[in-house]
Amino acid sequence: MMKYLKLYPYYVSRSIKARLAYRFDAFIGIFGFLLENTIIFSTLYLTISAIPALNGWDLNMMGFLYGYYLIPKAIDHIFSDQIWQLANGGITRGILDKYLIKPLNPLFQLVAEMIQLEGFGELILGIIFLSVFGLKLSINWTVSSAIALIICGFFAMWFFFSIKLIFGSLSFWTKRSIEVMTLIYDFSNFAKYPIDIFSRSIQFLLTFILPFSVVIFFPIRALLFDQSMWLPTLYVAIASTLMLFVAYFIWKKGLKRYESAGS
Amino acid sequence: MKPRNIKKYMAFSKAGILSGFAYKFSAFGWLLGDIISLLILYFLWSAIYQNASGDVINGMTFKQMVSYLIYARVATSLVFASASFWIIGEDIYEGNIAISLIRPINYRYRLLAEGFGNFLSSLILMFIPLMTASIILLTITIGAPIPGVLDFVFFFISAILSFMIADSLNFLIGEVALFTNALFGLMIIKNITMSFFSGSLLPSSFFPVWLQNILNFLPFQSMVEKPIMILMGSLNGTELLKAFVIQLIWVLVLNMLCTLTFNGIKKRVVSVGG
Repeated sequence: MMKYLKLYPYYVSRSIKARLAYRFDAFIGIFGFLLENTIIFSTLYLTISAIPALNGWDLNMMGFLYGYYLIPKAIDHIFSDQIWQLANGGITRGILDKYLIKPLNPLFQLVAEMIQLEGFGELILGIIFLSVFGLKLSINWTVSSAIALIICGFFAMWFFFSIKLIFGSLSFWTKRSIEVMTLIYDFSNFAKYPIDIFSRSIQFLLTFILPFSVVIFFPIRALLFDQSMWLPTLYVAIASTLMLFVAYFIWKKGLKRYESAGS
Repeated sequence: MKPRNIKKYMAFSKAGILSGFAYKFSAFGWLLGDIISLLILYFLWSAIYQNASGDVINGMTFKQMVSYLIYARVATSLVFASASFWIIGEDIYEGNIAISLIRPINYRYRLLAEGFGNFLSSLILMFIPLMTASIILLTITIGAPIPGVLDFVFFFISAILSFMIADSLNFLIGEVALFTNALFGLMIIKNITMSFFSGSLLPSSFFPVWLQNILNFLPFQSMVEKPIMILMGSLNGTELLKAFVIQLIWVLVLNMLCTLTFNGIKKRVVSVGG
């Protein structure tokens, strides 16, 4: 464990140096994600401006929820973007070969290989939204609710990571899984809206099968409507930890197949 | 153009169709992702109309709004089918552009011809099946009216003009690859800007007035919003004619701009080549 903690900064600095060799390109990438999310939110903003509130959620609340949604997603985007390469035909290109010959955990190497600076575009916007809309709302902040929210965000980050790893690892069996991975990842978009606007079956899906609403929407609802934060936090922790175990199990299973398939 | 010349470019159209077909089969996977966003849109707008005080928001009923958003999504796959952005971007990045200049072919027309091939393959593989499915689905679920035959004809003419506008914009933005290799980042910026301003995410009647006024002087509205309005039969007589004339003007202006800027690039390529 200590070994990995020591090695990680080297990987990170190497990756950042490589990206910053082309500063302007990196800037365009960051700006692209910032712009994309600004425009998607503007669309939502203009849509909701047409009505006073969406099932009790006004513009400021929706903005706050959107900002919170962006932050764990962005942090995961920054640190583990390489999993997309696995899904995008990486198995057939043999991107794992070089990890398997080193005496280090292959998953660690895969994830540490690249720091995706583009994610900072989303992170910056998330922080801006959270502050701007947070100030407009009269949130009853307490030390306990602030800590709970940070814990929720931390676990939500692992939730995004696990979802990517599960569906990225599918490519050990299918060679290519980026389409299904994108599809499942896109389900996270549901979590940007109050869950009660969706049909019963979708609510069930977002709560028990792909619990994106549990990790994103429930904590914010508790915070804004002044309910206890600790029960939702417990749910987030349980959902994310379970998902992480499933993900690591599937990754391990898949990796065994990869070894037996190669040479 | 002489018939011999047209034949020359037809070969590129054929290549465009084939590459479109090859690529579009994997694009079916992406379609599933579109279903998610359509599902979200449907529920979001149902909730919005339930929370509204009247039946009409910014001049549109719920049926019109849902039809508009779904048609716009489907039409986008057709209008934005051209791969010109990637072709010119990669040609510049990899230096192939120099070789293309030696050939006795106009590079701009070559890309337009190839893009037209992409347009045709999108029409067959994506647009026709998706549009049929959407119309059936919309009629069954919310009882939306089926567009008339004449609306379809006018829509199709308008879509071809839209495609030419989008293709020249793709070409112009692809030329930026001269200054940066970040094609992926450029693509994100280009796609999101085009979909927002063209009205593919939301009809422009929802935009603030100042933005609507600016957009009147830009080509974006002609790409998605106008063709969809035509399809939904919202434009009559003179409005229809005006929409076509504006589209045609943009096709000409943007293509002139493509030629002008590309001549500039040629000089730069030559000067770099020594």
